[in-house]
Parts: sequence; C-alpha cells; structure tokens
Amino acid sequence: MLLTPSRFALAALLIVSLAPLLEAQETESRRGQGQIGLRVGYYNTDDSGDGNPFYDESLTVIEPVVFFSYYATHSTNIHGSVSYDAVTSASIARLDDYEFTGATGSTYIAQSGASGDEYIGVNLGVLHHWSDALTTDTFGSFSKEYDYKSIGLGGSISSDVAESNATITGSLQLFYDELDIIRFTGNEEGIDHRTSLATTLRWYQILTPEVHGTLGVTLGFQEGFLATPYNGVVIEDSLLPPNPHLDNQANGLETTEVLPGTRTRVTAFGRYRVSLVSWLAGELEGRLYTDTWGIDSVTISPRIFYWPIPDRLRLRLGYRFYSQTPADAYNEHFFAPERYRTQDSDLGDFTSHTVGLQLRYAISARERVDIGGDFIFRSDYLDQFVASIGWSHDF
Amino acid sequence: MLQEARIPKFAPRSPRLARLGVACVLSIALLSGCHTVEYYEREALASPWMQFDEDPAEIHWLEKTLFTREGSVGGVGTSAGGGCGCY
Repeated sequence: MLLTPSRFALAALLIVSLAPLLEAQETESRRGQGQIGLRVGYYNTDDSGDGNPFYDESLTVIEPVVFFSYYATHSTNIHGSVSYDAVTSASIARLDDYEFTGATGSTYIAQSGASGDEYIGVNLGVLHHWSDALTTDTFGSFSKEYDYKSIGLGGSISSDVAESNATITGSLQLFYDELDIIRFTGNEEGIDHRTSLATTLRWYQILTPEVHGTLGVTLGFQEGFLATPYNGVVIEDSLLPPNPHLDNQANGLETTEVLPGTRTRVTAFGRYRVSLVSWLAGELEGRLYTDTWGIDSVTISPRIFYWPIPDRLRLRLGYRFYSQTPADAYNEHFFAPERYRTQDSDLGDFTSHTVGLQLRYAISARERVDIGGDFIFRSDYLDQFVASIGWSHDF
Repeated sequence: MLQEARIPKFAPRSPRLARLGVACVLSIALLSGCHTVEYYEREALASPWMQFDEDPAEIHWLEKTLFTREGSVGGVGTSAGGGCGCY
C-alpha cells in the first residue's frame, strides 16, 4: 500500500493518541481535575452596498459552544467541545428564493458565505504528559452543515529544552471535507472534496524574567475543490440589459467562481508579552503570510492586559492591523470569463483595523466569566462586529 | 523555433518565501542565544497576567468568524485552514 503523506500522518496520530490508554503508571495529583465551560458568540456583517458591488454579503451568526477538559489519569487529559451555529445570511435567503420562485423570478441578490442555517461541530482530543518535558496532544473533529461535511485529525508534540526556558512544538492538522456543489442558482452538480494538510513548528522562549514569547512557522497545503460553490462572478457587458438579479442592476451575466485546485500557504508568526508592573502586561503579536494564489498579508496586534482588581478583574484592550494583497484570480470587474475568477471580497485587496475590549471577572478561584467584543473596520467597508460571553468552572 | 522557457509556477513567490524564511531563522537564532532564566527568577512570568491562556472556545470562535473573512490563515491562535464551518 502506498504510504502517502496523509496516510503517514494518520498512522502517526493514531499511535500517539492511543498509546496513553495503555499506560499503567499513574499518580493521583491531577486525576479528576478539569474544566467545563460555555461560550456564546455573536457575529455580524452588515452590507450596505459595500464590498462586492453586485451582491449582498450580510451575515449574522450566533454560536453556543460547550467545552470540557478532564484528567482521566495524572498524565492524560481528555478535552473536547460541541458547538452549534444558527446562521442568518444573505446567501441562504438567495438560495431559498431561487428554490421557491425559480431563478428568473428571484430579485434577492446575495453572496455572504453560508448556504445553510445550521452548523454542528464536535471536537475530541487526548493530551498526554509522557514526562515533565514531553507532551503530546491529539484531536479528532467532525462538523456538518447543509452542504458541507468535514472530518479532521491532528496532533502536536511539545518538548521542554534548555532547563524549561524553551519549548519546541511540532503540530500537524489534516482535514478532509466533502462539499455538495450547489450553485447560486440552486443547481446541484454532485459532490466534490477538499483536503487540507498543515504543519506548524513553534518555539516558545523565556527571554528575561519579565519577557517571554513564541515564534513559529506554518506550512499548509490544500487540494481539491477550493472555490466556494455558491459564489457567483459577474461578467459585465454593456450590450446586455440591466440584470435584475444583481444588487446594482449591472449589465452582465453571472457565472460560477473558479479557483485553482491547489494552494500552498506559508505563515510566520510571533508573539511576545512583557510584564510591566504586577498589574499590567503588554503584548505584541505579528504575522507574515504568503500563498501561491498571490495573497500576501501582514498582521500587527498590540494588546494591554490590565488588572484593576488584582486576581479578580482583568481588562484586555487590543488593536489589530491587517492588510492583504488580492488573489491573482480576484477582480472587482470582469469583462470576459477568465480561467480563474472570483469576486469574493475576502480574497480582494483590503486593510482592516480591529479594536477590542474584554472584561474577565473571577467569581471565585475556580469560576470565571468574561464578556468582550471586537469591531472590525475594513477598507472595503465590510465592517464586522464579533462579541462573545463566556463562563468556565474548574473542578 | 524558440522554445519558451519553463518557469516553475512557484518561482514568482520564492523571494517572499525566502524573506519569510530568513526572518524566521534569524528570530529563532536570536531567541536561542538568550541566557537561561532560573526557576526562582520566573515569578513575574508565572503570574496570571503573563499567561498565554486564551479560552479554547474563544479561539475557536474567532477562527471561524473573524479570521476566515481574510485570505490568510495560520499563526498564533488560528488554525491553518480546512475543516470550514466558516463563513
């Protein structure tokens, strides 16, 4: 049997995740300890004629997540999460409209990223401390929405070095996704697949008694159907009459989005945090990204962690700058059906500024609540708001 | 007849990748040159305000909403793509 990279990764993950179950030795100190928590997230993008000029890209998502972590033995921790999404999006409304009225009768123009109004995801992992210096963590995941199923496997191995002044972590993630190809017209074109493989090497280092940080590199590879099936692209032609299916009634015809079948992605990232005084810490995070679709991006994110009431109330203030170049296949306007084509605003050229605030309050030594929100201001005016409220309890 | 030169598809990207690689190697080299901080010197680093302790559910939420609305992936607190459930 051919040992492909995917099969090798799968075998390695299975060995690492099952081995802890065979371990006989254990002590009592961590056994039975754990954490349970709940988080409810809210996300909203309001399209007021911004972003893609032809389509409405508005989207609202509400997601509750339940997560847990439990030490079954002193050295083996089982962790997982279950999440459910309720989604309201312009693209769902558009598909519904096509379904009920037929393409020619539809006047609702939309393309916002979701084709179903529900999503459920389950994630289960096993973390094992092989020694004081060596830890492995593996996970499996499954998620499902109306036209999308995904199975994920992954793992990481961490080793402390230099008298625990540094930790080196290598990780691997593999996702196999199955997509129902449902076009913006509602036409169904069967099933296709997408495989994503990513590996990350991360280096944690204590720099001084007040500063520590992380550096890393991620190399990712994707193949298969990488376009978004229901995304449309408008081929403009001044000789055609105004198209009633388009947000701006442009003269043109819609066709499908087409993107290359492979994508290689490289990310370099780093994060440093410095303790300024006993109730104040500062952090700087940065990221450089490039891929074979032509997108380059830079991210810079400073944060302040402030404890107005030590050990009780924490305030996190953050800013994030993000800028990306467009994918080679992206164009705001097409006048001929190029081989690769997309008008997805998220693959376009834009800069965003995010400001966020989070308050975390410790009800007791074992119980915390937090609430926070981020406003994202994009240069293409597809502004977004993300908020969440969480509770967690250690046992 | 002149034969069109074959240019590897990856070639146009290589200068950027090379810069990324050089930056990473230099940074790691700088980090590895740091002196050892002994256990008894780590009081500040062990304090709650210095922990990289983001809630996994918070990271999960940001990954599938905020970060998937961008063309790039990966890095601190984000997965490297795939699995979707994103918007």
